Amino acid sequence: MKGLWDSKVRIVGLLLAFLVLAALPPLYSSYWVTILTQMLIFAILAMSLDILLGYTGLSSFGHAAFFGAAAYAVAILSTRYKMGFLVCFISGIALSAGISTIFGLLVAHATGVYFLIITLALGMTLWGLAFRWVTMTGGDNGISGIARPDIGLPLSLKDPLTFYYVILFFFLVSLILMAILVRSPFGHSLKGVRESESRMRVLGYHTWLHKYLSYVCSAAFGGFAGVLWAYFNGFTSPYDMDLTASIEIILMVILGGPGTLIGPALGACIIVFLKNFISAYTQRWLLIVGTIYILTILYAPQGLVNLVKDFLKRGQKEAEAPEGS
Amino acid sequence: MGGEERAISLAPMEAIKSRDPGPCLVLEDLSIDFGGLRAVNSVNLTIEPGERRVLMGPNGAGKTTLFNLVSGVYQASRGRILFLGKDITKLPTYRRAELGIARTYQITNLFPKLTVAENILMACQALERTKFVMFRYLSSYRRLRDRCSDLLKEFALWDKRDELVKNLSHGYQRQIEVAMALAEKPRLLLLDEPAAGLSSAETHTLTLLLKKLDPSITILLIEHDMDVAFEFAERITVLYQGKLLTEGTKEEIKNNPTVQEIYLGGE
Amino acid sequence: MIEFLLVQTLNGISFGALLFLLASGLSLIYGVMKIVNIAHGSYFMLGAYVGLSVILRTKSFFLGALGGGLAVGALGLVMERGFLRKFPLQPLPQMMITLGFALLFRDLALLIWGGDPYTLPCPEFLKGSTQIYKVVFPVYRLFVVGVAAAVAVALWVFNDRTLVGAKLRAAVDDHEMAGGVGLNVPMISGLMFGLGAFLAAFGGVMGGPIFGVYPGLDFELLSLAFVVVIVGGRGSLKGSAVGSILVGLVDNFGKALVPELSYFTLFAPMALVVAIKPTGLFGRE
Repeated sequence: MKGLWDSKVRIVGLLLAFLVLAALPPLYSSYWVTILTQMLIFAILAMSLDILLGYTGLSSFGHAAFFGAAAYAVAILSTRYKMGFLVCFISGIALSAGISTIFGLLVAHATGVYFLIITLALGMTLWGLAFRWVTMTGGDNGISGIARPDIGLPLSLKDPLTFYYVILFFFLVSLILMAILVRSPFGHSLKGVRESESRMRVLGYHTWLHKYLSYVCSAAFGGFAGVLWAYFNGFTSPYDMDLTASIEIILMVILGGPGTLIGPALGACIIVFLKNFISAYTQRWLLIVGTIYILTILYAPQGLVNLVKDFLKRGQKEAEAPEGS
Repeated sequence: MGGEERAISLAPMEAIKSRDPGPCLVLEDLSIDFGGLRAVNSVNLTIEPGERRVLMGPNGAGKTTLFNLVSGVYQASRGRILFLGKDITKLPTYRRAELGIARTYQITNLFPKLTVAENILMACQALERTKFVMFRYLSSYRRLRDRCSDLLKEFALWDKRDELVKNLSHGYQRQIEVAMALAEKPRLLLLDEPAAGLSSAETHTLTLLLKKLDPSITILLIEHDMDVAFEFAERITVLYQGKLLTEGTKEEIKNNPTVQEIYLGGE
Repeated sequence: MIEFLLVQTLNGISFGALLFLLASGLSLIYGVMKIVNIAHGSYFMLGAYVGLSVILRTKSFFLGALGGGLAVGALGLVMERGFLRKFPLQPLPQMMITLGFALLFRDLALLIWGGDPYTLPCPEFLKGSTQIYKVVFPVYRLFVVGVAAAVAVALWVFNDRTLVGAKLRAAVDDHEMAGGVGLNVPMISGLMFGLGAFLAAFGGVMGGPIFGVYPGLDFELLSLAFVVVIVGGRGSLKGSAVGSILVGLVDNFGKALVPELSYFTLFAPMALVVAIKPTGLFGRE
C-alpha cells in the first residue's frame, strides 16, 4: 500500500483532468477554450524547465530564450517563406536544441549561482538579437500574421476548439515523453546530480555530460512549447523571451513544486489563469507576480504539489497510528 | 536521443588477469599543497592486490586528504598515483571509478532526500551504459533491479528500502555507504572511518561485514577506533603531519614507541 | 577614422564607468552574502527615477544623485534586514526573494513614473563639449569616467587599506569566527547590501543624462552587469573594473558597427572567457 497519494488521489485527479481537459471543452465558451489552450502550452514550457531546475537542480534564468527562439523560427518561416507545419515544427525545435548545444558547452560546468548568472546573460543576449536584429525579427514590433497551419485535418485549426484538441494531443505527447525521461536511468542520474554532484563523480558519473544533456533536452522541449505558442498566438515578440518571461517560468515551476512535472504544469495553469484574469482588472500584473513569488518562497518553498503530498502523507501516518506512536 | 558510444569497462579484472599481477596501488612521492600548507608530504605507499591495509594517524595527519587524492577529488601537486599499473594521477574522478576505485566518506555523503533503494540504484547503474538511456523506465531494467535487491538484502536494508535516507539512523546510513561502494564491484575500496559515530554493537556488525568482503578486493581503511583497526588490518601505515611515519604489521605498530607517543600526546 | 575610434572608445569607457558602479555593487553584495542580487538593476533604475524627481523639484543634480542613492540605499537595507535575513546563509531562497522584489520594483516604477522614457537633465556646468586634439568629447561623459574612477579608488582603499575593510573581509571569509571575535556580522551584511544599492542607484542617476530611464532598463543593465561579472570574475574589484571597461567597449563598438547584432556581440567575449578561464579574468575560487 503505497499510500493515499498514489491510489485515491491519483484516480480522482486523473478523472478530473480527463473531464476538464478532454470531455467537457465542447461545452466551454471560446474564451475559456483559448485560456485552456494557453495553459497547456505553458504547462509544456514549465515542465521542460522542471527537467533542468527540478530534477537536475540547475536554476536557469534564460529558459524563455529557447521558447522564443523556436517561436521566431516558426514566425519567420511561415510568414516570410510560407513553410508548412512540419518544416516549421522541426525547424523550431531544431533551432532551440541547436542553440542549447552551443550554450550548453559554456554552462554545463557551472553550478548554483554561477549557472544562474551565465544562463541569465546568455538568455538576454538571445533576447538582444530578437530586439535589435530588426531586419530579421521585426525588432520591438515582433512578427505577426502567423496563420494556423493546415496539418491535414478535415477541420480548420482556426476554430479554437479544434486547435485546442490538437494542442491537447501535443501536450499529452510531451507529458508522456518527459515523464519517461525523468523515470529513466538518465532521469535518475539527474536526481543524483541535483542531490550531490561530487558524490556522483566519485560513483563514476561524468556529471558534466549529464548536465549538458539535461540542458539540451530541456531546451528542446521548451522549443516544442515555443512552436505551439507561435501558432496559437499568431504573433511573436521579444517580450516572449526576455528576463521577465524566464522569471515567470521559474515561478510556475516553484509555485507548482519543482521535481514533480505535474506541479509545474499546475503552476503554469495557475499563473496563466491569474495573468488573464488579473489583466482584465488591473495593470499591476508584475506587482502581483512579485508578491506571489515572495510569499511562495517564504511560506511554501517546496511548491503546492509537494505541500499537498506532505499534508496527505501526514494525514495517512496519523490514520495508521491513532494511539500515540 | 541518448546512447553513449563510449565502452565502459565493467570488469577491470579481465584486463588485468593477463598481465603480471603487480601491486594494486602505488603512491610515488605524492604531495599536495594548500596555499602554504603541505597537507600530504612525499608519501610513498605500495599496496598489494587483496591486501587489507589500515591507515592510521592522529587528526590532521592527512589521511582523508590522501583518500581525496587517490579518488581524484584533489589534484596532486607532485608525485604519481599508479592503480593496477596505470598512471591515474591526472585522471578525473569519474574515470577512476570506472577503473575500479570506490570510496566511502567519513561524514556520510549519501543522497538524503532519495530512498535507500534509489541510493543503491544510483550506485548500481553508475558504471553501466544504461545510465544514459532516456526513453525507458529505470524500473524495466531487471538486471539493475535484481542487483539492487541483492545488495539491499545482503546489507539487511530490504525493509528500509523505501525510506528516505535522511530519516534513517546513523548506523544504517554507514551501511548504505558501504553497500553503495560495493555496488560497483570495485578493485580498490577506500573506507574512510566506516565506524565513525557507531555504537559498539553497530561497530561489531560492521566489522563482521568488512571481514566477509571478497578477498580479491583490495581494501584501504582509515580508522580511528584502534580495536577495529587492529582486528581488521594485515599491515598498518601510520601518517603523521602529512608524512609517512612508519609502516608494518599489527604487532610492529602496536609496539612502536613513536606511534604510541603520537597517539597519547596528540589528538 | 581616428576620431571615430576615439569617440567610440570614450563612449565605451564612459558606459563602462556606469557599469562599474553597477557591477561593483553587485560584486560587493556577492562577496559578503554569496548571493546575486537580481534586484540590482532595479536599484539602478529606481535611483535614476528618484533622482529625476529630486532634480525636477530642487534643480540640483547633486541633490538628485545623493537623494537617489540614499533612498535606494535605504531600500536595500530594508530588503536585507526585513526579508533576506529570514534565510541566513541560504543563497538560493535569498536570490529568489530578490527576484520577487525586482518584479515589484518594476511595477512600482511603472505606477509612479509611467511608461514613458525620460532623460535626466545634465548639470549646467557639465553641459556641452570640449575639444582634445581635434576630437570633440561631451564633457559630461568625461565627468562620469572621473567619478567612477574616484569611486573605484575609494572602494579599493576601503577594501584593502582600512580596518573596516579588513573587518569586512573577515566577515566574508568566516561568518562564525567573525561573530566570535565580536564583529556584528548581520549589521555588516546589511550595511554592505545598502552600500551596494547606493552605488547602483548613484550610477543610475549618473547615467540618467546619457541613457535616460525607462522600464526595462533594470533587466537590460542587470544582464550587462552579469556579463561584467562573468568576464571580470566574481568578488573581485579589479575584475569589475576591467570587465566593465571591456563590456562597455564591446557593447559600444557593437552598437556603432553592427547595430542589429549589438548586445549579441557580448556573447563572444563571454564565451571566450568561460572557455579559457571559467572563473573570469580576475576571479578566484
